[in-house]
Amino acid sequence: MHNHFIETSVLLTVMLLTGCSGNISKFTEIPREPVIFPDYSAITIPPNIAPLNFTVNEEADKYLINLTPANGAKLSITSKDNSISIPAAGWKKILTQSRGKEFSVEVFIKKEGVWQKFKPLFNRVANDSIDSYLVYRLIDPGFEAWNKMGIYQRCLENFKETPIMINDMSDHNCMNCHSFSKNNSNTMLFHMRGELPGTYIYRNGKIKKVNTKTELTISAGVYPAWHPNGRYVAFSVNKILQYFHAVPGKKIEVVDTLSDLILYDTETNIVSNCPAIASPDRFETFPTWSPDGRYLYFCCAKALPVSKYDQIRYDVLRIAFNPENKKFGSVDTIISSSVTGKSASFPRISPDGKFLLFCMSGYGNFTIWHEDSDLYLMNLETMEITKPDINISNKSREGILVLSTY
Amino acid sequence: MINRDYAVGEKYLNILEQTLFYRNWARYYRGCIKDTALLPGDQEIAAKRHLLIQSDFFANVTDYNFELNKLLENHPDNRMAFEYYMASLLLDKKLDFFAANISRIKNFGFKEIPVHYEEALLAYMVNTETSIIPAGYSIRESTRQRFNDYFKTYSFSAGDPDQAVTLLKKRFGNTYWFYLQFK
Repeated sequence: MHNHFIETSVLLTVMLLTGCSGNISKFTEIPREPVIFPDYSAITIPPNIAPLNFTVNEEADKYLINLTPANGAKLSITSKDNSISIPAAGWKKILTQSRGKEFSVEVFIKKEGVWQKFKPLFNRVANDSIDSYLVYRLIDPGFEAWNKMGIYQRCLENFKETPIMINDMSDHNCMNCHSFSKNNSNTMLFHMRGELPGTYIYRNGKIKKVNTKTELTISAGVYPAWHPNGRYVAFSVNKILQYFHAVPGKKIEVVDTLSDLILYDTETNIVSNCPAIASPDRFETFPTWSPDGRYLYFCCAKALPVSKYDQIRYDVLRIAFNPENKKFGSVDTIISSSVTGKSASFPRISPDGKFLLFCMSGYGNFTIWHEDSDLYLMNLETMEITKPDINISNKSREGILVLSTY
Repeated sequence: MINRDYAVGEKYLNILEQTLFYRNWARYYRGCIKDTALLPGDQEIAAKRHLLIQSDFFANVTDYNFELNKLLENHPDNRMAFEYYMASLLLDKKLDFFAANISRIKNFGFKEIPVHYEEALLAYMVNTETSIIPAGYSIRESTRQRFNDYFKTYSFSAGDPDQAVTLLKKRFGNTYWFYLQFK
């Protein structure tokens, strides 16, 4: 009886040392990092991002995770399955206490009554926050027809998603190409197609609807780019066709048969262009401005028929622009497809104006469907092109921010 | 599964396994995905894989005749593509193209000329005063007789189209001749 009492006391003591406190005194070491998904290790995290929940792809009966900040108490999470949900308040504390520094992630697993511990993971917390909201369109994954769709905003600091515009209110039409001036929600635009067609421009609480199509231009404005001054918008105007490949392994091809650029003045309601951005024997598309608004970058290719779709290769050009008098100037070639042997698309200039981020693939411009599309970075001072270590595999098609598919 | 994209296939099998009518079907194919060596032995999968396209082209729903021809170029034994192609030619009243392709029926194991093909052939041959019946085939006597009856009945309309429809629709409304003339 006495021995049984002692054994029970020891057992209770051992149990008290485990569980929610995160203090496991008895464990064996596994000399490697755990396999988690997503692979949140050795990354830099914004200080205001929502909890980065993950799964532990290791078999176990029980899981314990310790998040230890640079300064402060650790946060422990236990789970009976491999899906780890981090409490929001505790996560926020971890990030606040680790701002500008690292925090560690320790993963313990319990198998057949024995705790095991992996090598810890380390992540860094940046000093700078990210924009709190991301805006995207939600649409069923179809190719030709649609039913419900909408433009939504997602708070990146929590998981809250709210609609900006849903097509329940507009006869189930199509909408997209939402674009914010300087990432500021005070000024934005999007296109509606089908029913109630037009470009809807929102500015400081007021909405106006415009039709940017003219008799002299190919179409209404398509891909938008707000000038930094918030007054002008560069649009592409395109005749875009979508085709389905017949062979397995290739799905969709989106090809321009006509493509130019226009400049829309939101104050005067005037559309203008110039020959250098609207040549009949070239495709001009994907406009994007330099941060100082003095250059318009765009993609440009020799116009070829659809039958030669896989020979269409886009350069990145830039044209000088004077915002005071809306005059365009001389054109420079920034990236030449005849040099790279590839086609560039989706150019974007960094906020400090020093870098150009773009996609490159074997041909074409609608590269979400091209498995060989990768992200590249050009240093605009040295003109050196590098391939950052954020591309994943041949099977993925990367884009900027949200357009990443697996 | 036909395209060996098993991860995508599994996604939809997961959904179908939750249904009443496709549960067993989905479970069967889930087993085939686990052991993909089973798939070539599945008749339906094997038949579809045989017809996979080797020479790429764009599929565009606005010009299906082009695509049907491309299917046949890739696989001259694709009977379904041939039948759809011939049907589209008949619907579009492109009898010249229809006539140019009728001899291909021997490649697909047709034992006899289908009735609507016979009707279209007779119309074409009367119009062009040619005979293009594929070697080894003949037009049924009953079809010829109905053709004669069609024209005899039509003659009673004395050229009045509304009268012709009234006279012909009941007995010949389901024939290619009626479609060719009035639809």
